[in-house]
Amino acid sequence: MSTRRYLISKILQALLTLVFVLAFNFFLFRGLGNPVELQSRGRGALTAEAIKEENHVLGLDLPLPQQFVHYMRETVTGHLGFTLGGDTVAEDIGVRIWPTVLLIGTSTIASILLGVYIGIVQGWRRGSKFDKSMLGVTLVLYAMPEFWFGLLMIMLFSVTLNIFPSGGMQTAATDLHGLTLWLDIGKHLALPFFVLTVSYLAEYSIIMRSSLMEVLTEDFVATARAKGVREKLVRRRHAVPNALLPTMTITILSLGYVLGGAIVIETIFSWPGLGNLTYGGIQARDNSLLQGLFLLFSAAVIVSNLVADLLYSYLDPRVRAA
Amino acid sequence: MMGGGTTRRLRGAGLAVIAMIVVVTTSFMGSAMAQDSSSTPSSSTGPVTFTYADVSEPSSLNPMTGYLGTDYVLWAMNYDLLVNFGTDDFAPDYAHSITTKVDVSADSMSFTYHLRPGMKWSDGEPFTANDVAWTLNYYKENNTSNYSSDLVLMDKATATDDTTVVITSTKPTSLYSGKTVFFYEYILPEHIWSKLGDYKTTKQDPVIGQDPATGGAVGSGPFIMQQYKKGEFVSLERNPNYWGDSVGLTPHVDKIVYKIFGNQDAEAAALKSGEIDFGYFTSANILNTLKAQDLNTRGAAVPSFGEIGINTGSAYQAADPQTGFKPHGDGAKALTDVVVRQAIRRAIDNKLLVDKVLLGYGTPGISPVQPDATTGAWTPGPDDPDLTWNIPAANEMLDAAGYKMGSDGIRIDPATDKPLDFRFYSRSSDQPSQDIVPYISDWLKQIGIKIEAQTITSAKLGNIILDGDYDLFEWGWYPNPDPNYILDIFSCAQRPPGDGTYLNSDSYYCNPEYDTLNDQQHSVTDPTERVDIVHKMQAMLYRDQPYIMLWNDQVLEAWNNRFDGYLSQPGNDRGDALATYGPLSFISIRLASTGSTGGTDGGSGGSSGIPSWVWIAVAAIVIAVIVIAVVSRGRRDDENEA
Repeated sequence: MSTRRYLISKILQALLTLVFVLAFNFFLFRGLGNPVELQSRGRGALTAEAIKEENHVLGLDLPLPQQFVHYMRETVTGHLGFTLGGDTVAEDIGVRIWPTVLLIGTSTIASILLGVYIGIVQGWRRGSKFDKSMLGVTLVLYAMPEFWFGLLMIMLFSVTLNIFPSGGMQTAATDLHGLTLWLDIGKHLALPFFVLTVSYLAEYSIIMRSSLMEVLTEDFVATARAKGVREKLVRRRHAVPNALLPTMTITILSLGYVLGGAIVIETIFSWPGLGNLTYGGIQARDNSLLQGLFLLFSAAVIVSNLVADLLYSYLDPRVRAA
Repeated sequence: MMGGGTTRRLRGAGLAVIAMIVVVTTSFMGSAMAQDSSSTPSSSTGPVTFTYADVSEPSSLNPMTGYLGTDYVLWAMNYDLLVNFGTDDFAPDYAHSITTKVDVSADSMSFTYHLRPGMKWSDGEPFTANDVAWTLNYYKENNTSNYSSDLVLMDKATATDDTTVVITSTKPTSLYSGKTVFFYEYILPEHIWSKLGDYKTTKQDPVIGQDPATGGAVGSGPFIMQQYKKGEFVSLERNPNYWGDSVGLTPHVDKIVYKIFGNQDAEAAALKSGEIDFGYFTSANILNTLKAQDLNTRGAAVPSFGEIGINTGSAYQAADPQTGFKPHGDGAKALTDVVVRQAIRRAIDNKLLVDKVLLGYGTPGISPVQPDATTGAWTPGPDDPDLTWNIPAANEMLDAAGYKMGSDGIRIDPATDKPLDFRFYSRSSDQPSQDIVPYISDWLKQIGIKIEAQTITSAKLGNIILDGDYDLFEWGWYPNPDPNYILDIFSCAQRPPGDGTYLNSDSYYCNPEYDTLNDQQHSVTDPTERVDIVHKMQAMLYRDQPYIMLWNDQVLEAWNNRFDGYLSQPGNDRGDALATYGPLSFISIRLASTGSTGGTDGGSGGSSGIPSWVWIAVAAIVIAVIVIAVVSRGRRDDENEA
C-alpha cells in the first residue's frame, strides 16, 4: 500500500468513527430519560406549565428526530448547547480542560518517562535484585485501588502532617498572582500528581521490560555483540530503540486518554477537571454536557489512535507495507 | 527507527522527573509549613473568612435556574424573601425581614406587604416595592419552575409606592396572608434583571459579573456572591449596603467561602486539619468517626423523608375529563386494595430501620407533612386505624380479606388468583435505599408477600413510574416547611396527563374526597381552619397508605471550634446549625474567643505525636537515597560497559 493511500485510509477511518460517536452520543444520553423530571423530583409540586417551560427552554419538547437533526447541525457548526445550569457546554469544558491537562498530562508524562527508564533497567538486568524489587513495587502500586491509595496520602499528608491540602486546585477566595499563585497550585497538585505518577509506572515499565527482553534475543543483537560492539552501545543503539516501538504505541494511546481525565483521582482530590465535571454531569443527568464531554474524549482517543497508527508506520515501515 | 542514545536521554529524563518531584515536594513542604501559621484562624485585625463545604456543585447561581439545596443556601445569603423564617420554629420573623407587616383585605384576595424604607441593593441602587412587584410578576409570567407552585393563586403584584406592594389572588386564600411564611421567592433587582433579554437568556445569566464595580452579583442579602470557580468554590463578601444592619443583623465575618469537595473522606480530612470550618456529610459512618475525634457533629432535623411508594392503580389523565383516567402499566392489582397496603405498613418496623440503616440519624416517619412544618403537623389519634408494627395483626388483616396462604408461603389474591409477588425498586444512588431491602423482604415474607428486589438508577425509576410498570419503590422528598407542596402531590391532577409527560404523582393516588379538601386548604382564609383540613388530609393518607412512610432522615453536619454562634433551625440545637431557611445563622456566626481550629486532630502538629519536621526529614532522606542509588547504578553501568 502506498504511503498516500495508507494515510487517506487511516484518516477516513478516524472520521467515520467520529461520526458514529457523534450519532451514538445523542441516543446514549437520551436513553437516560428526561433531566427535568429528575430535577423536579423531591422539590415539591411543580405546575404543569412550569415543567412544560423547563422542557421548552432545554429543547426537550421537540420530537426526537427533530432534536437529533438540531443536535447534529449545532455540533457540526461548533455549538455544543447549554448545560442545565445555563452555561454553554463549551464554556464549562473550557474552564475544566486546563486543570485536567495540568494534572493528568504532567503525571502521565512523568509516569511514562520514569516507567520506561525503570523498564529499560529491569529488562537489561533481568533477574537482578533491582528487577525483582521494582517489578513487585510497580505491580503493587498498579494494583492498588487509586481511591484507597489517594485517601491514604490525604490521611498522611493532609491530616497527620498537615503539609498538603486535601483537595482543590488552589486556596479558595485568595487573591494570588504570579509565582505565589503557581506555588499555591503546585501545593494542591503535589498529592494527586504523585498518586497518579506512581500508580501507572507499571503500565510502562512492564511493557518496556518485556519488549527489551524480547529484543535482546534477536539475531541483530547477537550480531552486534559478535562484532564486538560495546554493551553500552548494544543497549543504546540496537536494543532500546527497537524495544521502544510497542511502548510508543501505548504512550500515544495514553496521551489520548489525558483529556478523559482520571475520574477517581479528580474526585478523591476534588480536582476541578474534566473527570470531576463528567461525574457531576452524570449525577445531574446533564445530557448536553455529557454529549460534549464524550465527544471530546472520543475525539481525543480517535486522534491519538490515528497519530499512533501514522507514527508507527513511520517508525516501522513493515506496518505500512502490510 | 529510533536514533541511538535513547537510554541516556531516558535516564536523564527520569532523573529530571525525580529531581523535579524532590524539588517540588520539598519546596511545597516548605511553603506549606511556612503557611501553617497563616492558615490558622484569621487574626482579630484581618478579614475573617468562614469556610463551609459539601460534596455538591451548585447547579446554578441563577435563582431561576438552579434547583439544588446548595443553590438555595447561597441565594439565602445573596437575596431576600418577602418574609424571613424564624430560626426557632419557621414562624414569620417580621423583625428581621424586608417586610414589616401584611394587611389582608376583607375578601382575602388582596394582600398589602409593607416594606422597610431606605433599603439599597449592594450596588447602591434603591431597593423598592417596584423590585418586589417586578420579580413576582416575572416569575409568574414565565412559569419559573422554582416558584410556580407558590404563585398559582397570584393574579398580579403591584407597587403602589416605594414601600408598598399589593398582591392580588384569583381566589380567597390564607396562603398569602403572612400568617405563615409562604412566599419562597427571592426578590431580584429589577434594574439588573429586566435588561438581560428574553427569558431563556435570563435563565442562562451567570449572575456573577452583574455588578461591574465589584465583578460579583447584585443582591440585598448580608453576603454577596463574588466569585465562582467551578468545581472549587463560591466566595461571598459582606454587603456594604445591607439593610439588616439597622435591625441588629450585623454579620461578624467578612467573607464566606463554600468549598466544593469531590468526596466526603477528603472533606472530613479538611475539617480535621482546619482547612474548612463546617461540613455537610451523607455518610453516618464518617460523621460518627468525626464525633469520636471530638469534632462537633449533629444529625439535624430537616423537612426530609423517605418512603416506600406504592402503585395504587396507575392511570393517565384522559384528554376528556368526562371519561376519567385512562389506566396504564402493569402494577399488581392487589396493591389497589387498601387492606394489602395497610398490612404492608403493619409489617414494617420503621423504628428498627432508623436504628439499623440510618444508624439513628432520623426518626420513624408517620406523615408526609413534617413534624416541624409551619402548619398542620399531625400524628394519628384514637379514631385513626392502628397501623403500628405488628406482624400477627397484619396476617390477620390479610386472612380476613381473603388472601389465603399458598403452599409456598405466598398468599394468593382472591380477585385475580395471582400470588402476592411484588417488584420492589431501590435506588443505586442512595445507600439506605439499598440497605432496607433485606429487612423489607424478610418482614413481607412473614405476612405471605414475596418481593422481587432490584436496584436501579433514579433516572430509570422515574421512567418506570411514568410507565406504571412497578409495584413498590423507595424514594424520598424534601418538601418546603409549608405543607401545601407535599399535599399537592397526592391530588388526582398530579397524575401524568399522558405517555411521555409527567407531573408529581408517583403513587397514582387519586381520591376525589382528598382533592376537595386540598382545594379547601388552598382557599380557606382562617389559618386554624386550614390546620384542621390539613389534618384530615393526612389522616386520609395514613388510612389509604399510598406512601408507607419510612423515616424523617436528618442532615448530617460537623464543625470544629473555630467559630461559634450557630443558630439552629428549628431551635434547641435540633435543626441545621448553618443552612437554615434564611441567612440568620451565617449572620450570627463569629470567631470563637478561643480561636482554636478545633478537633483533637486539628492544627498543624499532627496527631501521631511525631513532629512534622521529622516526617519531612524522613521523606527527604528516602528520596535522596533513591536518587543517589539510581545515579550511582547508572555510573557503574557505564563504567562496566565502557
